Amino acid sequence: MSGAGTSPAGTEGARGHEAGAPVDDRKVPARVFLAIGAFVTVLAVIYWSTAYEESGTVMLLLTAVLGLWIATYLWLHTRSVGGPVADAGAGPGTEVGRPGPGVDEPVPVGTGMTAPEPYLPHASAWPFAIGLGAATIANGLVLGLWVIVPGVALLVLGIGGFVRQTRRRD
Amino acid sequence: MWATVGAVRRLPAAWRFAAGAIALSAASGCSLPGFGAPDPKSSEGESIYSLWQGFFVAALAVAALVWGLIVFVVLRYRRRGDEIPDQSAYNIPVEVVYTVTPLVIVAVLFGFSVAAQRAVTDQDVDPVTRIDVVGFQWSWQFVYPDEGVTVTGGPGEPPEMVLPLDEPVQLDLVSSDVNHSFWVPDFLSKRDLIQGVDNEITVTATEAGTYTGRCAEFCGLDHWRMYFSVRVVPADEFDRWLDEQRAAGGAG
Amino acid sequence: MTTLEERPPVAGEPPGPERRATGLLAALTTTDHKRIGIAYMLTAFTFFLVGGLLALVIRLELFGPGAQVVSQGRYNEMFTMHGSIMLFLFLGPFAFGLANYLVPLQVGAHDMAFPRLNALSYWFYLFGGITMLGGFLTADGAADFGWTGYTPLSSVVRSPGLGGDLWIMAVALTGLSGVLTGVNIVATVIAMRAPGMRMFRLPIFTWNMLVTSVLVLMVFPVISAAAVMLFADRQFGAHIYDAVPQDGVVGSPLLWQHLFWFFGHPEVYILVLPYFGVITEILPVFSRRPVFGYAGLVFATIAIAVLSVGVWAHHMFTTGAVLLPFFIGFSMLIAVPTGVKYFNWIGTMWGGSLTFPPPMLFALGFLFTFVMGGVTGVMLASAPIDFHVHDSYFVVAHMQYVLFGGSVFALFAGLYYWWPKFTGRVLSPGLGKAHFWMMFVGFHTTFLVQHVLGLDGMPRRVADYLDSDGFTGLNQVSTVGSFLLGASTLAFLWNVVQTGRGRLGTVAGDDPWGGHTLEWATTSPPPPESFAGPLPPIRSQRPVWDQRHPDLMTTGGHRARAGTTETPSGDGQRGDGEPGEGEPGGGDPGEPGDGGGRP
Repeated sequence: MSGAGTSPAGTEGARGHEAGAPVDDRKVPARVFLAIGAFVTVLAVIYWSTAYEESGTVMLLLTAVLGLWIATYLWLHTRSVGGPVADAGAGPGTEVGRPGPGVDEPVPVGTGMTAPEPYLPHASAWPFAIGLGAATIANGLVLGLWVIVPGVALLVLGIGGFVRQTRRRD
Repeated sequence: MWATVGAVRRLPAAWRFAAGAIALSAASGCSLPGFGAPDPKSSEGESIYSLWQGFFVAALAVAALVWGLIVFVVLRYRRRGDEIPDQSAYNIPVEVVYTVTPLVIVAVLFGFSVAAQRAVTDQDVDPVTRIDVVGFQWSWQFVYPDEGVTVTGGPGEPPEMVLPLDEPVQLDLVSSDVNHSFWVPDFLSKRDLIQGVDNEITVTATEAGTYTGRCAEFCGLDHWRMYFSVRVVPADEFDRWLDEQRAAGGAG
Repeated sequence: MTTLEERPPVAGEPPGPERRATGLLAALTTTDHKRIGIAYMLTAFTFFLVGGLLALVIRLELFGPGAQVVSQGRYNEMFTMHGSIMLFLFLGPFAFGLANYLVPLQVGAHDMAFPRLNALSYWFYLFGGITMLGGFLTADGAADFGWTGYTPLSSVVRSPGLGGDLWIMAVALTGLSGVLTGVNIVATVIAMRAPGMRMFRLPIFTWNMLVTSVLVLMVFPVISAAAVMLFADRQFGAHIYDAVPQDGVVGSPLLWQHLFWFFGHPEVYILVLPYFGVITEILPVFSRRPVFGYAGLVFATIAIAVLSVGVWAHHMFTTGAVLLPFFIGFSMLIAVPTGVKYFNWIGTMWGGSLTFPPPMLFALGFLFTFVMGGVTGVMLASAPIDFHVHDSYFVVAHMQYVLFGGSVFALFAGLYYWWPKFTGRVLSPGLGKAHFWMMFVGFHTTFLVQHVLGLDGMPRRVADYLDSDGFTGLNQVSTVGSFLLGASTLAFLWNVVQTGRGRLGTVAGDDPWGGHTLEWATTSPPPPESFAGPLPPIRSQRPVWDQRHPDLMTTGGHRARAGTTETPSGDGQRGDGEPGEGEPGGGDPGEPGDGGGRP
């Protein structure tokens, strides 16, 4: 094999990106949201103390809360159940710097969440019904009650069918 | 490897050139062309004009650098064989340089911008008179409250605001209905008329002449027709004009 | 018996047979991320054509002084709807279409996290778009107060028609659509990655879609709220944006501007970040190099997103009511991460082995053009300069340079790049090149002169101008350019039709370009479950490249290896480049039994 100094473990080589201590990948999404939420908090504080008006402060604060909220959820979830990702680089032979057996083996498609079989419904008429119902109501708010009423009926029907389909795991 | 080092050497020089060009043009101003901006006819306009010139030079330098790099890459690294090229995926020193250098440039541009902004908005002068600029769909009314003169425009009849030369005048911008914006391109500055917002601007015209004014905030059907004009005359002529207006009944 | 309608259970799939419906029923009930992605892109492109026609009407009208084509009122509808269609109904949804199709593939999943919610997002978008266009059918015409809908002009007193109300409802519906898609993308990227696909191994397109989705979650609710409040003012007698005091309480027309631009500025980054991601996918493949400065690109994208939340009032510099240095500073600061990205893109090509099929041409066109929009953006960030050019054609030129010269060029780069994956055929490169050059020349002819028009004093949103204004000459140049630009789209459509019929273009294998990321590890087009077998090992940001070049796996670092040729160790060299002009399909010849698991 040509190429001196290469490492079949990809970026985990001694001179690669991950040459330092490995970061637990499960923490990365939480950190991304934390960074966003923290920075916007700083923006909000600066704006609040210097600007002439309030709406910007309110919007910045709410945005910061959104970022921190998601960050907190992800952080807590990661700690309690080992992370929302079923596998974040783990698996046979994928430890950093230690290419073990099976490192070149093909990998299964992402399973997602902690459930072994996530619910990925194939076909459903209910999104169309809900979409059409909501859009009819929206137009009805402009055009009149005679449009709102069938829209509500369609929306209720659609939501009902959607929920029923979820329960039956159809 | 030498190409990369060469690139690193080239980058800082180009940025230094850009920063120098800005400083130079900010200092000398008039020796550069206007790059499309109209010749300023007010003192606020002059601050904005020289800022614009500096920015244009900096922008041109940055764009030229980027275009140059693109053209170089496209010509130099065309595929010539089946060899797999070098696979290096990062170079921290180079990345640091091209992160920090734009930061420095931005800081410089920020400094000049705030300085010019203060020259336009934070003026500490005593205006010789005030004009209430009232915007409405779709013309203007200029009220000189201390002089008892009013000029009103209408459809197809753009009103004319008369200003004294080289004297600061305060304009109070008021909207009767929707948002409008008072723009005299030759003064290189505009300010909006918004209900609930008290906008006062100070204008010091520096060259006699007649200049077109436009509404610069979309305000409905005849927005494009909301012209007005500004006529700048020497101070004594301005006083005579005021007297004439008052003699004619105060409303024009 | 396993028929075409039955699929063996694969990990992550519910067991049991599935009948794939056909025809209209299939269209109405699909939850397949690929079909939904195609639907988004088709619908968005249709809106693009409609918006483009409106633009041509605008340019015709502005050809000279005097009313040529439409009345003033109709003209105001034209530019309002042109902007609204392009920004609400085209660029964003098209990006969501790309994301829908590609993100599950790039992370190595069977579908998005919430397939039915995904479908629901599409229906909200489609019906929202139809609602907005429905304004044209009302007595007073479509919304005509500008896509920015400033109050008090958009109040029921000043704009009483139904078109405005329908516009508001459309904004609410499409906003909801975007939020649901944002949720889906975030959940998919966080929770549905295949084993080995660490966050910092994600393709940059997926990273950018993740960050875009976060922005969407943050700001779409703001515009929806603002729009609902406007609706309350218009229909339910509220006075939120009304400056006339009522019972001692006074509303504020300026509030609309704050709310709108808090959404509006991040919105333009929502419209551009996905397309930055597209460029970052294309440049490495056609340079045969990895992405340069991957981590820097990720951090720069996040920096752009968080900064964009804090700069909204640079659209309001001339209101006299905003804190100028704060917004000048942060607005200029955004140029820094964008500049970093530019150098990373150039670094990706540097030292590479470049070819120039249509995807690469459009990517280079993007690089050349977007920088101009970027520098005029820094000029606009300087409030004193903005005092002169705000609401003039200078702003129009800037905006078109970044949105068309940037996002649309990148959009076409992505379309030509992923077309083989979507359809199984490569679009004709000859017509693609013609399309590119017509678009490039047409674009610059149309919009470069508009910078001068703005500096000269031509305001925007003007239905006409006077002979004495001196705007006529440059407007005529601009109009001629716009028709060339429109014609370039015809070249593209012709390419699509002829390639679809098999008269042009070539058949594509799994990987006609020598791609790096996981979408190239499945068939073109992919099977219903996206991946019919296991994936290649994921040990870096380029799993498909690694599989094809086992001795050259991505390691990063300084000048790792220069000029190493392929070892003949059973790894096909021919799959590396584009199929070549007119040659029959350059599919990766390593397919049968190579590297495990591709069908």
